[in-house]
Amino acid sequence: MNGAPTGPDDGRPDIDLSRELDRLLEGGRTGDATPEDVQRGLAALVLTLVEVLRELMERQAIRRMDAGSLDDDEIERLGRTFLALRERMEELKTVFGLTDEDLNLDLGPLGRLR
Amino acid sequence: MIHLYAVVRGVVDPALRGIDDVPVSTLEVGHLRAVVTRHPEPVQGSEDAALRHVAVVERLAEGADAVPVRFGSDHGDERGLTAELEGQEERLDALLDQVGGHVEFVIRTAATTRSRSAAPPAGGPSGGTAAGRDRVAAGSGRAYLEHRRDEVREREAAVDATRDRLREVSRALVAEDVAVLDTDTRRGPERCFLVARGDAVRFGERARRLTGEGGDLVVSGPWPPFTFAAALPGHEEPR
Repeated sequence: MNGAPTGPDDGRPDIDLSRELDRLLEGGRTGDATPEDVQRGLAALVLTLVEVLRELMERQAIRRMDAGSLDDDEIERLGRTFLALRERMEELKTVFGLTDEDLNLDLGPLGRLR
Repeated sequence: MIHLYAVVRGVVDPALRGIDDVPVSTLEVGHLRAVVTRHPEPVQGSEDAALRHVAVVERLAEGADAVPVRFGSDHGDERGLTAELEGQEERLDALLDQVGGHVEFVIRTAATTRSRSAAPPAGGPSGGTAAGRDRVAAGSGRAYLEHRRDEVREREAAVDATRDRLREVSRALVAEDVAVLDTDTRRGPERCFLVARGDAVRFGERARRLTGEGGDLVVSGPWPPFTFAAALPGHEEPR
């Protein structure tokens, strides 16, 4: 591979939500994709969106912690919640055979998840 | 399905073949030509297809002024695509003036500065102090948030350091009189250079010599100026 940027900006395939949904539907329609393929593809999209929200909420919690607007109990509770959510995400990725690379969403003007 | 490779001003080799070995054809857009292939089904996003796309664009750019289009611009309606491009003819002409006869180089960090998500405690947190990692592993909520904050700061510091190095290298290359464009990808910050095709070898050698000194940056290219074509003001890349 010559490394030329064929994708949105850096030559690696990223998930474009609309295109990915079209691809899944087309694969299911033509039979090129098995039901398990479609299920895994949908799981990747759903987990990507969950990951976006989780990271946004986590960053907001960190900002509030640094700003001193959370007391010790709230910080501990929030931290444990995000920790548990992270672990749950890892479990789900394992269940569906997904990696971090599979959960890389192009959010258009917002950039990418990672 | 119509797959778009580039918009050119000049001659297109009629023997050129595109994805799935389909012969390329052209759509007249005023005095410009859109270079396309026609497919019975949507083009699959495979590596082979992407590489063939780039190869076609490179061939086109070698023979004529070309605005390269990134892989993935597929259209169901030929008349719709032509009408869309006709609406952009003036902009495309201006783009051709700027990127025609040029290639693109990219300099970026050799390491990925944008970390993947932080590993959860079960996978062993990587950043912060040993004591902090132990507290995260023990399930401390505060320690987890502090660990994540430290990771973000480390990442931001790495990105800043890369930007500084890119500026340093660019200063040494500025005599080359080339357009520069900064982009931010998931591999970290990158700096793109628009270089006249005739200067490409000299520029590439000089850039590689400069970046080779520290070993922390890598030079990619030359290739068609995809980034500049997509990023120049007023240009909306056809999809």
